[in-house]
Amino acid sequence: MNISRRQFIKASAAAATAAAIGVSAPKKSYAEGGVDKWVKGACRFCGTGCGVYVGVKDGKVVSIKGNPKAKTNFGFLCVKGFLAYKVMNHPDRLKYPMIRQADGKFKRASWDEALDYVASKFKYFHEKYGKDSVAYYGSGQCLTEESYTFNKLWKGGFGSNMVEGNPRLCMASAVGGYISTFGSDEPVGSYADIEQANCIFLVGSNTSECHPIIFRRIMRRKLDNPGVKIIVCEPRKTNTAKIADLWLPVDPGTDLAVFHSMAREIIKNNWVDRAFIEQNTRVTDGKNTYSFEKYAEFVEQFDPESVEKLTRCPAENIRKAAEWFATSGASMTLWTMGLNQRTRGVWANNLIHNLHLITGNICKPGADSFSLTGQPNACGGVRETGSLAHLLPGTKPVTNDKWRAHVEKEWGIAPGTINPKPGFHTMKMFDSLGGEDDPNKPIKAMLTSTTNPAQSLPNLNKYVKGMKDAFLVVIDIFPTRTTQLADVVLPAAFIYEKGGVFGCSERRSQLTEKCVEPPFEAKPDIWIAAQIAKRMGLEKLIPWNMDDSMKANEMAWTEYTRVTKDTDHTLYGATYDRLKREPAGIQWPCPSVDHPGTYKRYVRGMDPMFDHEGFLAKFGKQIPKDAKVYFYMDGKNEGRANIWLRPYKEAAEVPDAQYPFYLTTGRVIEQWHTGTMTMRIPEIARAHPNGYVEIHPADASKYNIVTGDMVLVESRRGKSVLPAVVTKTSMPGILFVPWHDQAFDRMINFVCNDAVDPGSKEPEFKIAAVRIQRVSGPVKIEDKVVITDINSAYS
Amino acid sequence: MLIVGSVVNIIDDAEEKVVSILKKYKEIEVYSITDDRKRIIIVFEVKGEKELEKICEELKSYDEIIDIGHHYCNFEEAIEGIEKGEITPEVFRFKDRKKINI
Ligand code: SF4
Repeated sequence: MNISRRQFIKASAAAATAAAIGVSAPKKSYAEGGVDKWVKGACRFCGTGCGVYVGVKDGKVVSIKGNPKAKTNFGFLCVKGFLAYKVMNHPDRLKYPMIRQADGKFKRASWDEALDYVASKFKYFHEKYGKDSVAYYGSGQCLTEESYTFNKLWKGGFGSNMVEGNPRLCMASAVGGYISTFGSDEPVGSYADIEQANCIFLVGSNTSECHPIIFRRIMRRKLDNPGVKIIVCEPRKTNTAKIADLWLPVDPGTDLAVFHSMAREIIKNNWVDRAFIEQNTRVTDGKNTYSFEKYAEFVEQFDPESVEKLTRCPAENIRKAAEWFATSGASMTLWTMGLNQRTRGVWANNLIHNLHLITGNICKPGADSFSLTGQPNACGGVRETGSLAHLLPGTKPVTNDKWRAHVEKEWGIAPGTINPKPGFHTMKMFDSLGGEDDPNKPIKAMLTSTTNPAQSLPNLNKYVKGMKDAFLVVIDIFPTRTTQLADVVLPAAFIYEKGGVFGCSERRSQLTEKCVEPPFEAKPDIWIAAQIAKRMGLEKLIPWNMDDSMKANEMAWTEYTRVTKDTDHTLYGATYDRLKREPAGIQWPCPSVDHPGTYKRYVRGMDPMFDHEGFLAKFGKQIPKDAKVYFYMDGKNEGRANIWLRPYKEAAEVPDAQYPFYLTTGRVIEQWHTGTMTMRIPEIARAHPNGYVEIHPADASKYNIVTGDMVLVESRRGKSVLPAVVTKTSMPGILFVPWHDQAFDRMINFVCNDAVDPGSKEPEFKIAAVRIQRVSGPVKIEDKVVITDINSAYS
Repeated sequence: MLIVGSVVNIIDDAEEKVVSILKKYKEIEVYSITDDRKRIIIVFEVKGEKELEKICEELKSYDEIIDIGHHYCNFEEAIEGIEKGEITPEVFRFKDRKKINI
């Protein structure tokens, strides 16, 4: 790059940055920055949904900048967001389709050979073992159009509900919580509530590391308004707690008692919003409804002193948290996996909603009960298109006769094609996956896209054999632990190489346009899905099988928004043309092209569904004319949200004499999930090049462990050997291990518990009982491990 | 070489002090300041993210600097380098691993 060009780019960087915060640009600068074009899109990583502009020069991505008009990030990005280019250009990219041969080695194949082979195997299993013998396992990283297409192919084409996605492992409890409390999935409000909240309650979310841009908004709110109170409830004192006014430390899984205790304090001090409770809620245990007095009586048992004994959270902190939460005037709770990945995840979600309902901290500016998403399109792609075993597009259950008939009609398939019986949830699906010769394994084949279950499932030992024995097709951009078990590997295009829609945590769908061509022979998933459909005689069902990925995406999107028209989740007004033009994307419900999208649901004047004839007629809803707040998806049709009577129940496995420690798992800022992408960005990998176990100094001294020592962490299911990091971050008795490390001995998911929440079927990644043992002093371990050899073994 | 456009958020009345801190870095060019004197627009020119992060960490250690937000990143030289084979994104591989010949 010559000097003048460099100066020019620097001036452009300054101008763009100035513009992002509303300052006029320095005169000498030009916003174009010396690229051929800026293409609008969304970040590929977390569920925040930051808007980006991708700079393309000579057919290559050369620059990324934040989109100042994006309502998610207002122009700012975290380091993951703008380093995505390194993933695209990485030499490890899968380049060609590959088929495993009789000798166990992969051999390059043409796309025709690979697709013919996959289709013929799927056909064979279908005919021999029935429609449910072939499963699809997708991802919250797939585009909405891709999830919709695979879901349609399976449910409408194969007549099989064996469709799951990795959001089952991260978001299912939040879905269960929203539906059981409010009647409909996804948050009521938006990120915009952060700037209006007076109290922000962060629960089970290391926001500073996992959602850095959201954390930035929270931090700004606090810095600009020091009176705003930040409460953090976590077993670990993470970076997030740095800005907290109050930390509620808890043993993993015991926070249910803290939430009940906060409710008790709120009622005792009469900080409740009686009018809101009377008009908009009911108390229920799922079978019966009760008076609010019954609820008050129920929570009475959770006095802060008793709860302190149970949870280790100081009673004083509980009292203070209750007071701040109830009396701030506008309180917002944000959470992620700490609440969801539990056998009582749905209950934990319900109890947070309870706090909002009893204090009227919902449906008004700055007050919301908000679940953050870990993946960029878990909400838009998997939840909203119904790409799970029990759902149909619009997040409606497959068991609903009317909705099945509606979808069948829209899809132009014979009535009765869609199976009314839900398929298997993720853990059951993998437990049922195996070879032809195993009569106990009814699922014989699986297609996975953009996910890495051979590293991400809990209690891995139980599931690896099934993946290995079955016919496994993997669509991804890099070799992973899962490609090591695959029979066919299909190289995928990256988001900026294909375009499509991501829907982030705040019900906002944003379109990324295709920026550049995929490398070598990589192809968009939507093309792969359509080509498989074509080969299985389902061309009519999936007609978007053209090479032009944006055209195919648009067809899929247009159909998806038509099928879900007039639902509470409608994006009918978010046409592709409009999504191309809208700088910030659109939040549903958005029933028509002239509707701006919805900031807050269930509030008259803000939520269009109050007056949307099509919706009211389709779902038989009558909303009283004087109702200001109305939870219109309430199953009882009374417009009320449920305050749940949920008993206290501990985790599936708690420490005992044999396994005396709690193990909890999570993420660090630099690494994203199984490290498939981020571990290939050296600047990122360097910061956390390997897994490790955090041990409190008190425990470390008991076991004679110092930082760097190798420690065996063992549960009833598996073991892992990791270097120790002695730190006060966690409380004594609690160990923390991040789960991004691909090195076999350090894959902590062998140790994790696969017990599932009975309501959401989400596994308890966050809590396992383990024991530890010092194995040796520090040893030089291999770090920054990634699977590079496609022929390498799973070991 | 990375060129990054960023905003430095500062505490009240610290503008002069922060500008003088920033000017000590040859990798930083100070471009402008907002009317409320709370945000300074700068451009980094650094070898890579490692250097960027190091400088940011140093800057954040000053009490007057609250936070640095990045908005714009240009990495075209890195792409050119990767394409010409001059730069290989550093990846640590399993030992004794042969690459498939495709
Ligand atoms: S916060 Fe999340 S969405 Fe935003 S830039 Fe970072 S990784 Fe991307």
